[in-house]
Amino acid sequence: MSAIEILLVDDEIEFAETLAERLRLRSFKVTVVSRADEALTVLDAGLRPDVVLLDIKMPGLNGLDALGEIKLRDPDAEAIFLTGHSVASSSIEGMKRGAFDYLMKPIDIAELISKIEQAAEKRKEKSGGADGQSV
Amino acid sequence: MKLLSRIRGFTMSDEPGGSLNRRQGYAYLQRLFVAAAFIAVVLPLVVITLLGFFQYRSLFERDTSDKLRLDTQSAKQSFEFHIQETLSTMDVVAQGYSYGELFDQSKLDTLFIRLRNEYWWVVDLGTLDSSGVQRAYVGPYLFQGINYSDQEWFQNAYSRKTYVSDIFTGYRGVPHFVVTVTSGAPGTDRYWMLRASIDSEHLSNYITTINTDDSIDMFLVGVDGTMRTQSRNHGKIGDVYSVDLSTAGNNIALGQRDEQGSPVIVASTKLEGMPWILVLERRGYVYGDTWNQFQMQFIAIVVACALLALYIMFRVTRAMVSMIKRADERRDEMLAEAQHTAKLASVGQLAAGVAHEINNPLAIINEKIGLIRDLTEYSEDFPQRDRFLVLTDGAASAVKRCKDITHRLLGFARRMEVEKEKLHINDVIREVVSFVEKEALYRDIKLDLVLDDTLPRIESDRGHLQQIFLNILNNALDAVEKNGTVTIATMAKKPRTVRTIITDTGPGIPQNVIKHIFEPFFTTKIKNEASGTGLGLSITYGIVKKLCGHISVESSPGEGAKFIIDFPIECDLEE
Repeated sequence: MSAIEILLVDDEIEFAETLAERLRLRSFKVTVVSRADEALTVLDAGLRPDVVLLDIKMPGLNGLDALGEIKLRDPDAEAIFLTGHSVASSSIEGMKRGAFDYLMKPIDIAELISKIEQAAEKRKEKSGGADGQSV
Repeated sequence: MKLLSRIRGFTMSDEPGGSLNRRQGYAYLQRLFVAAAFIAVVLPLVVITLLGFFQYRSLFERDTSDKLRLDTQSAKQSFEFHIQETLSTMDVVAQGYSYGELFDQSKLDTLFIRLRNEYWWVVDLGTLDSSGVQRAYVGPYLFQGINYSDQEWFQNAYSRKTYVSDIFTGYRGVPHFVVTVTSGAPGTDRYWMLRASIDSEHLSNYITTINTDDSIDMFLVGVDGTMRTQSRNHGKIGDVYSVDLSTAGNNIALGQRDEQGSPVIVASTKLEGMPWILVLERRGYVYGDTWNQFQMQFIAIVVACALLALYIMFRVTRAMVSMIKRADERRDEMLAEAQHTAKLASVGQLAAGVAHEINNPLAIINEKIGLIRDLTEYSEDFPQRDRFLVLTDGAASAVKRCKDITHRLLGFARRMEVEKEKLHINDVIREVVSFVEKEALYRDIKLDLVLDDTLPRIESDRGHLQQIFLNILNNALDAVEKNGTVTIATMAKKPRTVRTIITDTGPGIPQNVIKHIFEPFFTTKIKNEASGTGLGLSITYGIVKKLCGHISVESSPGEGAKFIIDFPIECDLEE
């Protein structure tokens, strides 16, 4: 089984880089960007991550709007919001817009990995279904 | 008007420099109300009373005056008739004699005897010629031949058909008066004057005879203002009469008072053809006893009414002031609660902001510690490796504690999503009790449920309600010692509200703690207790408010604590 590929979008670089390193230690393939528009650029360049980890509150395009753009480019994309924000309704809104789940910072790595694996599995199922339909 | 403006402009102040403090202010307000009510009620009562009193007294006076006037007229007629009759008889009898016979002593004796038969009070009788000499005389004195031409009475009577003199002592040295009848032209040989003397004592006796009313003092006063007869109240003959009768005609004088304060009504009338004024003086009213009785009853009724009015005014104004006081207190409580809510809201916002700002660096620390631990775990063994793991676990544990705090802080402030449903609050309470009953059993704490099963369902969120009751129950269980009791009661409360009261038999909460009990981080628990973050009740407060409810605490040290939570049946919850 190939490594799960993750796109981590968070303006807290220290956090994002450290989390990415921890995930890499666990054999995940992680790409880190600090802004939503950078994430779109990466996607436009052809990257198709299994799971997108998205901060909600970011400079420029916020996480909720970024999810919409990501879904435009990759309808099967599964996103998990990582938020330190107090307004849980934002996370609920994210769920409504098609996010897989959300986690409150500081996160528990085991819980995150569990969610990532579930999201990746879901994407895999969806991609397989889509392939089936296209045939 | 000044009083009304005072009431309108009435203000109180709690400030030390304020015009009036609360207690003084309410007492002052009550005095103002009583004064206003007094002016509005008692004053008109007094005015009406006085009007009635004086009106009634005026009626009595008028009645008495009318009666006295009638008595006076009657006495005047009687008196005048009495004297005039004497004069007429003298005249008629004298006319029966010739000029010469009238000066004849024996004829005059006969005439005197005839006269005395009818008018026994005539003392003597004399016949005078035009020169004033008494040529014939019958009586107890030796007055025959005396010339009266220099006497005032003679001069006054000389040219008059009839005359009644004033009282004088004359030659005999005894107070008396004369009545005269004349005939013939003055200064001629055919002129004569028949004179009769009457003792003044007869006037007093006659007045006594005609005065049948003991309450009336009847007497004669001369034109010079001195007494002509004895008076009960004004002394003997010759004394000066105190009342001015210079204008006396047919007059009634009112408004005087005697030494005892009784009303004195004086009626006076000039006697026709006589130099006297007849005076009738009445002390007290005709129906004096009725008047006195009426006065007493009237005063008693008015005083009783005034006292009753004052008592009612006092009670009513006290009740009014008490209502105002309670309204003020309620306003103060609502104001304090609003301030408290605003304070909590702002503290909540601050807490949320702080928590959020802390959360991000905390997330970095968490990841760094996690990475250190990962690296240690993924690395080969090296010196102090185990110690490294212990240290990172300790740091991770501290981060988790911080995370719990920040998440609770965020929970306190954030708008949590709710799932609205219609539910029975008793069901929620029973569920929550099932969570804690084992702990209660283990600690020998009695859990009493007094639930009203007829309560209507309320619109609320089951999860949040559970959190509220769990928080309060946990606090109650923490407060209660072994063998203590925690009671949960539900009841209906108007309007359309369901009330839950959770009471414990713990040590109670001091007033200074109650004021801060819903503030974040306020705790009375020992620091190293796991649940002593001081956020439980502040979160509870926030959730209760979110569910349209109201929570309050009542407690006194040593008497346990009582948490009262009210929820309306309908609530516009934000889902």
